[in-house]
Amino acid sequence: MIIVSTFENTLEAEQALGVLEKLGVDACDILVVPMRLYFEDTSRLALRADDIHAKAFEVGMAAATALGVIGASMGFVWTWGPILWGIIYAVVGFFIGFLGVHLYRVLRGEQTIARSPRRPKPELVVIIQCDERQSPEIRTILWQYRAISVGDTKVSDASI
Amino acid sequence: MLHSGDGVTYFWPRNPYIAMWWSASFPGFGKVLHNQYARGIFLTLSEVFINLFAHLNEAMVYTFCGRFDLAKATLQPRWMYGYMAVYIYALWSSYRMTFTMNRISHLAELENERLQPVVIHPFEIQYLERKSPIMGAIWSLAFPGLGLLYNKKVVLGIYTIIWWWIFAHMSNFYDSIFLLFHGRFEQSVAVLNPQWLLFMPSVLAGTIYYGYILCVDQNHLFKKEQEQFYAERYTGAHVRLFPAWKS
Repeated sequence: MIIVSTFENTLEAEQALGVLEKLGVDACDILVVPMRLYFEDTSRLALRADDIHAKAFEVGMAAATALGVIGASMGFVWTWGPILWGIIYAVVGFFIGFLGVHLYRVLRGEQTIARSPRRPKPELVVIIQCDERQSPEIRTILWQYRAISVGDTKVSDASI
Repeated sequence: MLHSGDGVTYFWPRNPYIAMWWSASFPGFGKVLHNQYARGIFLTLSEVFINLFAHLNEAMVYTFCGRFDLAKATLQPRWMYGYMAVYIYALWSSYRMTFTMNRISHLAELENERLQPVVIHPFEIQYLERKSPIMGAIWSLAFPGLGLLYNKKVVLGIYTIIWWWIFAHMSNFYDSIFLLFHGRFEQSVAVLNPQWLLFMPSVLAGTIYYGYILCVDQNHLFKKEQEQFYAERYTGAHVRLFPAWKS
């Protein structure tokens, strides 16, 4: 029979497979398919623009530093002092940068390429071919090492 | 990618303007972002000392406060010209170098050379794993350098922690925060030393950024390594999903 399960890319997934092998499941009976969560274009330089949040964070931090230094300098003559004004300016700078990137994307009419699932993300599909008697044991181990979902089918047994 | 006792050192595609910006906020940060630690650390040392000799940070405070006369009087021309040359070089080379490094990253990605998951060294153990970028940023915010240790950058993390203590000590930063909590605003401003204080925003923001972005990179490397391992070991050679194909 065939057991199909999904995992995140974690060390637990590797542990689960190691334990299964120890239990006597042959490595040849295991198939792992790493899944892409968004469309990937290998012909392009892979700038991390695919992760729009990381990009927004990048620009936000840059703006926060710039305004933070200016705020801290001017704070020396203002009542609240350089530390508070530095922090206030840095926070304002961060949001200007962070929201600016998102706003720019919306104004340009850019869409996110694919619907990206929230965590846990189904990043690995693990397919195991096994004997029916072993199946409960294998399923227990998959769940134990934080599988996201587990399913099974006997369809492929029909002609064996 | 090189995996060593000091964590992972690797090529990674960057945005040239971001690399240039970090060089502008603190010369050397752009190099560190490119994993070129020796030059990066040298440039940060040169920034701290030459800035100190030239009284540049003090002059900056006066300038932003509109006291141009005081700014002119404070700045030391003896150190200023050399500082400018080094500063502009750091900007230019961080920007320029990004393009070449992005090309090499692209080639390395296509080549898909096997990554090493674990390193055991007499003084350290290092391994690829999945980490949270937000936690990296938060630790850097709590104390710059911790976010780097979190990302396995041992030498750079210790270097940053030591310098943050020096900055905090020389500028009376924590004394000033203590006074702020007690509502003594005037005193809290009076104890601060502007020359040393102005190093701190850039270092704080830079390490928060590294704490976040190194996590993102290294999570990607971890996924790559795992995919390589699965592709080698779990090819499912005997798996028959559809019986009709069996014959």
